[in-house]
Amino acid sequence: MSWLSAAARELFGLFVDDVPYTAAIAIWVVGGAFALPELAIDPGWDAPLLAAGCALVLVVSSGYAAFSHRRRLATQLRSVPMDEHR
Amino acid sequence: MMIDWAHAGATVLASFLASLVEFVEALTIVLAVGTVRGWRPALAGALAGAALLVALVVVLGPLLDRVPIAWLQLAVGGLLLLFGMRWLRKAVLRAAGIVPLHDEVSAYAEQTQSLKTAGTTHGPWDAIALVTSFKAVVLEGLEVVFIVIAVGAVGGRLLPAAAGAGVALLLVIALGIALHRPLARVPENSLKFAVGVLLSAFGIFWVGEGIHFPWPGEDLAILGLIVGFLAAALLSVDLCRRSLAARARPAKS
Repeated sequence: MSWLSAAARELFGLFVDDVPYTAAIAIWVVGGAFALPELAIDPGWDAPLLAAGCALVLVVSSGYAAFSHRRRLATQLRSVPMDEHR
Repeated sequence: MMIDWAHAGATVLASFLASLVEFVEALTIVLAVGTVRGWRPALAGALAGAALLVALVVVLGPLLDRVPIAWLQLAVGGLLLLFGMRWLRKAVLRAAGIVPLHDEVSAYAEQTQSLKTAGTTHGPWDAIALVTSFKAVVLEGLEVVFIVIAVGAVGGRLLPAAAGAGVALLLVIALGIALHRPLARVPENSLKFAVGVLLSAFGIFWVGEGIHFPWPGEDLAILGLIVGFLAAALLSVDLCRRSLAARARPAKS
C-alpha cells in the first residue's frame, strides 16, 4: 500500500508543484472554455485569449513567488540582530 | 508541407530536449550505483526499468487509438499544459535565483554517500543497488514516456517523438561511457526552460483543438504559441530579478 501511495504521489508530482498555480491554470482553462464563447467577441480570438490567460498566470505566479521570497529574506534579516542580543 | 515540418520539428525538439534532461538525471544515479556498489546490479536495474517503460508504451500506446480524438486532445493537452507550465515556472524561479539550480555533481555526491552507508545485502544480487538503479530509470523514464506519448500520439507523430527521445538516450549513454562522471555541464535549467515553453505551447494548442476553438493559422499557431510563452517566461524572469534587486538595494544603504 505504501508503494502504491508513493507511486500516486510521484504521478501527482509530475503535474502539480505549486497547488495555487496549478489550480489557477485549471480554473482559467475550464472557465475560459465555457465563458469565452459567450463573450461578444470574434470567435477567432477565443483560442489566443485562452493561451494569453495561461501566460498571465505564469507571470503573476512567478511575481508572487519573488515577492514571497523577498518577504522571507527580509524576515530573516530582521531576526539576525535579535539573535545577536541573545 | 511547411506546416507539417514546423509541427514535426517542434515535436522532435520537445521530445529530444525533455528526454535529455531526464536521462542525464537517471545517468547520475546509475553512475553512482555502479561506482559504489558495482556495475552488474546497476546495469541490471537500469535495464529492468527500461523494459518496464517499454512494456508501458506497448500496452498504453494502442489503447490511445480507441479514445475519441477530441477527448484525447483535451485530456493529453490538459496534462501537457500542467506538466509544461510546472517545468516553466520552476525554470523561471531558478533563472531568477529564487530556487537553487539543480547540480548534478552534488546530486552524485549525495547519492554516492547514501549508497556507501546503506549497508550490505545477502544473496547473489545487491538488492539496494538493483532497486536504486531500477527506481531512477523508472521515475525519470516515466516523464519521458509521458512526454513522448503526449507530444506524439495526438498529432499522429509518435515516430518523430520517439526518435527524439531515442537520440537523447543514445547521446547520454555515449557521454556516460566516455566520461564516466555526471554530465554537470549540461545546461539543465536552460533545457527545462525551453522544454517548458514547448510543452506549454503544445498543451494549450491541443486543449484549444479539443474544445473546438479555432486557432489562427491552424497548425502554424504552434509557432506563435512558442514565441508567446517564451516572451511571458522571459518577462517573468525579468520581473522576479527586478523584485529581488529592489529589496537588495535599500539593504545595502
